[in-house]
Amino acid sequence: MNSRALGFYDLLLKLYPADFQEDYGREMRALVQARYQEEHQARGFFGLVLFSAALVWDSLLTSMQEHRIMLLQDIRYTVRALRNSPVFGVVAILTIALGIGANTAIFSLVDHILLRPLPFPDADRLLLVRLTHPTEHDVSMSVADFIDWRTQNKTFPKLCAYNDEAVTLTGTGTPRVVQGAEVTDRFFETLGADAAIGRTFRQGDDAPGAPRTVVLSNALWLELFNRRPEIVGETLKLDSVQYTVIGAMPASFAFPSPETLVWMIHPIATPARRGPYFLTGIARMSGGASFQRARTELNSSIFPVTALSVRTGSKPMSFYVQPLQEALVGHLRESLFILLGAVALVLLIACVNVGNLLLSRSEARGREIALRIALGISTSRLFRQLLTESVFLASTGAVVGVGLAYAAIIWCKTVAKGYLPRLDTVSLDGRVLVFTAAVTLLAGILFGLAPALQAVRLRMEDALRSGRRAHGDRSGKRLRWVLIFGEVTLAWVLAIGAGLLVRSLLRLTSVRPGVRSDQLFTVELALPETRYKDAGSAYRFFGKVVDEIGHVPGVESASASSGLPPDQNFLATSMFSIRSRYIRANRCRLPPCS
Amino acid sequence: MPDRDVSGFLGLPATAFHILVSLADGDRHGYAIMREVAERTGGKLKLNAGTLYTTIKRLLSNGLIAELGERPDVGKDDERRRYYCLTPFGRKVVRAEAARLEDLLSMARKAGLVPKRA
Repeated sequence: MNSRALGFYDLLLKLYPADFQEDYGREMRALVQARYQEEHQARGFFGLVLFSAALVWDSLLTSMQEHRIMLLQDIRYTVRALRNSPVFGVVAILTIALGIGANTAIFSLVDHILLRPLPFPDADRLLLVRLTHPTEHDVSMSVADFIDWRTQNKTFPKLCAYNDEAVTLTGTGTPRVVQGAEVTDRFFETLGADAAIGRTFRQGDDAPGAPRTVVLSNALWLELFNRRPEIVGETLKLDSVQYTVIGAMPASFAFPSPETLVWMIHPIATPARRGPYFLTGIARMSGGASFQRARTELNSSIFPVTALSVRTGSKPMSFYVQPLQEALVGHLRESLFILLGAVALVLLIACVNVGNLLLSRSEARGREIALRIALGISTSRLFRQLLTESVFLASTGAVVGVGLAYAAIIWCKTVAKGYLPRLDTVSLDGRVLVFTAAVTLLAGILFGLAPALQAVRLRMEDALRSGRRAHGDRSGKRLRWVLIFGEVTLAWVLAIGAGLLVRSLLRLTSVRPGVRSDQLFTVELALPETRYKDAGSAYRFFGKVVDEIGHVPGVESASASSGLPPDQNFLATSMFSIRSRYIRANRCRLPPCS
Repeated sequence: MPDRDVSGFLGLPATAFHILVSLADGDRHGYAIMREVAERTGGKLKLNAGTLYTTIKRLLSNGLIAELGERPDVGKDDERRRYYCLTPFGRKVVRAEAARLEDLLSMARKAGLVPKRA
């Protein structure tokens, strides 16, 4: 057998546990050498190939089997040891469960909200398009802007615009406000979404005079029609306008928000004036196009039209383009990663705590370990056994931790609904559990390494004489002090971070919004434009409502507003274009008429 | 020491059975066991090193075979080789296993699944 083949078999031997290699490695090597010669003489090169393949397969299979048997032995031993000290076991498992649970929960948020692509085909090609201005960052588009963009577009194969719009649904029982979105004809096509039943909008559906059509969400399809397939052609009254249902979306489609229940076609007709500004554009880049190039092309091709229409002196507006995912969740990146860092520190503290516990325990188990050494257990076997013990503790803690993470995610979905985008998609799936498994293994090795090294360092004679004494005792104490110092440092970092957060929160709560919010109740009403065509009729309606509410016993006063403080009042027309001059609504100071 | 019960070992894996049979008529080292099994099975079963030694380890820990303290053919063979022998308990187990297989075979014969012996 040549040296290269023998070297290769030596590598295969390393697959076996160290003890097994020590006991049988030499014999196995000799046997393989003899078999190699036999096969070479009997069947030549072909025989050697077959023999080598069988050898590799046999080595892989039997080494794995040996490791499995050894692992089961170690786990049995660990369970027996934990039964003898249940308080230690429970404390260690709960400590680790807390750390791993927090990491699993926060990672599932980070992964589902930030890291995973949006649930659309080639989601990385989708861009959010708005307008930007030197003084007015990130502004919606007007219908006129959208028409300019659509007619002059040479950059994107598909584009559309949408607007979140709460509408009153009537004719299906009690009238109620539902969250909807007004969209242009290629909205679904741009996103690459198909209807579950019926169809989505087609090109030209948003032409002036085209029938008013609507696509239902899966939830509304279930609620109104019990997921009957024959819904195409049914009618729905939204804001007193009759819409014809053309289809329903699958449950997985939740854009612009999971609360969106209807998508209504928005007729695109050339408006009499430039504003109001309420549309958000979405564009799909062609394959191979880069984000930067798309942005440059967009601004260089459409810019002149927009510049003519909306200007502040000589400073024109331009298109503000962002990858859609970045636009939806980018603002959360920093805070979520800080949170992930904080829970990683919690896990580190948990590891240090459990490491300390294990260290104290390994000293108390000095005699037992010394006896096992005296009975012939090798150092490597002992090290492996102690590490298995810590990984087993971490794994049991992970099982409890995953349960805690599950509860935390349910809680988070309740309290953070509406604040965190894509929250509905967050779950403990395979990818998150792989992360948990990796963290568990790492944590097990991390907190088990120091105590295991400490234990195998104990000299058999020393330990037999006094169980815990001399060298072992001194180095054990030193190690414990290092761990305690590390733990205190980590705790300080966390405490300072938490303190800063609390200080920010206190400052926020001490801000005086200018109103007293106690004893106040609010109700939201959306009036259909078809019935309340002018400001006067809407004003009269709200006047009547306010008057009637004011007469309800117990009500001291009532009022109406287009938005609630402390936010600025929402105005669809936030900018006015007066003779090519751009003025922000809330800064507008018109000179008195002379 | 009370007699150990052989029933827990019945249904021996084929490799373990072959190794025990090969040690029934004499003590052998690993390579000799492999050769004997190969000869007895007409070359159909050639035990690979991993299978052979993991099984030997299992048989040793269960007390079915034992390692000899002295090598029978000192000077004739490689000093790396260790010799193994069948323990009395191992002999009982392999006999019980052979009887069990015999019973199974006779049942198959009665059912006409195996040609009757001449």
